Amino acid sequence: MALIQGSKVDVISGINRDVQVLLDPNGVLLGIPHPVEEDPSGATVQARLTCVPEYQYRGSQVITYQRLGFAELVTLFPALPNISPRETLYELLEGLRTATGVGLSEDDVEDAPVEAQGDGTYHVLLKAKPLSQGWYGEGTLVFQDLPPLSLVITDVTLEWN
Amino acid sequence: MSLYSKPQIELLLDLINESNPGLMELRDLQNTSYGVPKVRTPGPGEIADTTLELYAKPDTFYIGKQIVHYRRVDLSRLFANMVVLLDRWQPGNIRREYIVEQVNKKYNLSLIPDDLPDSVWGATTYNVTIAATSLAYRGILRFQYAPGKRDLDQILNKTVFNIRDWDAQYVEGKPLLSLAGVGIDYTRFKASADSITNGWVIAGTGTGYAQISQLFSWFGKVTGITLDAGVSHTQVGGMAGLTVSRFNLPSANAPEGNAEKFNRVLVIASKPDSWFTGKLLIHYNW
Repeated sequence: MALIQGSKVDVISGINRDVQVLLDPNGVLLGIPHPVEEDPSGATVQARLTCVPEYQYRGSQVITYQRLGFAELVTLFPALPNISPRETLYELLEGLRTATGVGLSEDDVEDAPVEAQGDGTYHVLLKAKPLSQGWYGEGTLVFQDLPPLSLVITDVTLEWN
Repeated sequence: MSLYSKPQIELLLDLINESNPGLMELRDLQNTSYGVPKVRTPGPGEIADTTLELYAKPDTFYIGKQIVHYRRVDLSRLFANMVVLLDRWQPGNIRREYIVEQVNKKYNLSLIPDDLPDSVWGATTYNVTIAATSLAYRGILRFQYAPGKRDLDQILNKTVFNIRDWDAQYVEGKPLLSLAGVGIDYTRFKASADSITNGWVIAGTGTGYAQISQLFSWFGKVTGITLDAGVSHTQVGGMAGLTVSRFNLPSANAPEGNAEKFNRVLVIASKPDSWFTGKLLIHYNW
């Protein structure tokens, strides 16, 4: 998966990989996802893929795919991610993307406050917007601050020559 | 041409009533079988050029038959002095189903495939006579292939995709290293990272061992996850036996790489029997 590039690009990349084509994410629009009745969890959705007028292909096609769940995501980190804390989730998104490779946009999640726990960890609620193209559900992300400078600078003697 | 855009049975009803005002309703036609339309010469002041026999269907409230005169839509006049262009990405092998689909979409008509002879056409200009059995149309359709874009549905041979699914890369009980240390900048170790041969299989000895160990050490300091190049990848923490691939970013082969902050990445992918799942990413700038 190409989570770092955001939901739309990841969906297009997945299609390209699956059917061995080379659709350009800039050449197609991914429409509003509609959950299918057969999957009450909200993971499986249908959305219309439409070519932009300038693209080398034309027309549109309704595709079915799964969104990823935040409830699962927050359990999959093998170690607490190191992210420079911010006050809100929206301010944290870029750091989350860089630190974990999970690219979320404001179209994917509701904003939420980042809460310091006092033990060096921070909590923030990831709650998917209903029309998110790539995510559904909610989960609490636990992370810690960036590593201390002492980890990087181990020789503290400066020599001025 | 919205007048002719109705489904063909409704268009036939309109055409019959055009020459015979108020004669029939839709339910009348729905309870009717049709004979074969025959050409007739309109009388003075008439427009009806077709004769059609209508028979009551069995088990309906109708009996007997009725002969009606009406006008069929003459495509020679409708498209007088013009050639219908069929926009198609690939020339040749044009079938009547495609012609009907294109003409209906482009000109809002209600042709059905049986209105055209069952044939295959190439990439020149054709004059195709509408089938004599067509209930609503007659005349000649003049069309030509014109190169166009390929339709999306011709490219995608499936519409259901299993493309965003943790199960595809995550195995219960195994850590997903794709989410660990992705943001670590290894640029200070770029000499080591770049000296590792692309495609090298990690081993506890030989060229590359010291370099990869340096990278793993840094990964461990930041994430707390200990990696060991000298231990088999089937044992916890072990990485030996896995292949190191190097990509310049952005790369279609490494879509998970952070191409905005780094221009190179080493990717170490797990195997089915590895202690972890996913891919370890080692980003740096060269």
